[in-house]
Amino acid sequence: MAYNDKVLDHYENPRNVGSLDKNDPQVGTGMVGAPACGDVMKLQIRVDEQGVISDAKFKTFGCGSAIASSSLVTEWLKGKSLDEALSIKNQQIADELALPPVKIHCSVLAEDAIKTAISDYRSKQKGVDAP
Amino acid sequence: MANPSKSERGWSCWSCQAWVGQGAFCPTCQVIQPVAPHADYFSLFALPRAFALDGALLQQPYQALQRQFHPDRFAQRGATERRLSLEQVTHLNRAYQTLADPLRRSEYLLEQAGLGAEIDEKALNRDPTFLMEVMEQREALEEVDVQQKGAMQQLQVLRDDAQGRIAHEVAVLHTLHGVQEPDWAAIARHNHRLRYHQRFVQALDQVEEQIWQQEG
Repeated sequence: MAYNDKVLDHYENPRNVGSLDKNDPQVGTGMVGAPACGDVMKLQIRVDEQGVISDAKFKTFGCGSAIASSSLVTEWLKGKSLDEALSIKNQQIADELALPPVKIHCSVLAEDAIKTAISDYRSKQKGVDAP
Repeated sequence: MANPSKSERGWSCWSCQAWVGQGAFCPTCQVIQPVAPHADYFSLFALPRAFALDGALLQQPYQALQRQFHPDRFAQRGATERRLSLEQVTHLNRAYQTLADPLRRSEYLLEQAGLGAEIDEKALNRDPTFLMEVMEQREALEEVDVQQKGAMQQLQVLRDDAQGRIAHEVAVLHTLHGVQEPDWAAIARHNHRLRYHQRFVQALDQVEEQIWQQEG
């Protein structure tokens, strides 16, 4: 199967690969997997005092489409509020990368990683706020 | 061209019209028959439908059936017989490959229980502890420098670890399948875990391949 140019670009030059300190209270970590293909994706966000995502990193082991989907969302996430980030839908990712139907689950995985990272951050913040 | 008719109970021979039942060959004229509809992989090898399976008990009937269906034996026959031998041998190989591999066998049993697709559709896995382990394995593999002398030994350590995990999951599947009313959701979960480990071993094989190519 031939990959689309944007997928190839993200695959060959992935943006924001790496890790943030998962124990930092300002960092939310989303870890998701696609059991049907054995892909695993880690997406991390750093949220500043204004509630804006100041940094995003990912690490994905999987096919080109899964790597491209996570690379793309790290670019999109920076500068967004958490609510804006939550409004990102897998269909937007799939459209941007022109993913074929068999690869839609890669974009679902990326959307799920965002949601998991944000909910991890929010549950940490509750812990911080608690007396 | 003859059009073999099929039914659940069996069928008549497409060639001589005598009753065949569900055999692969007509008992009257010995001509090869089509693959039985809904043919069960286990019954093909006269094995009980179970996850526990002795590899030798699969191997012997597989080789015997392969000889029976081998297309070379039908090279001098008519077009229908040649086509049917190919159908039979394809079905046989698919059945063998499914049953010989623990993951595929477990998935087949899940599918036969009518639950495979239903459970697989919930395509996301959020067991963070397990996923973290997978991520750590992957990172350890990524850190292996194929240029370094000790790379092969490092790979062997990772491989042993992964094989241990695979053996563990297979043992868990044995236990889960080995009861009267299996917990299919748990089986699906462990099938997934097994798939992650198998994928890891494939990734490891690719890295090892790079080392061989450098040396060669």
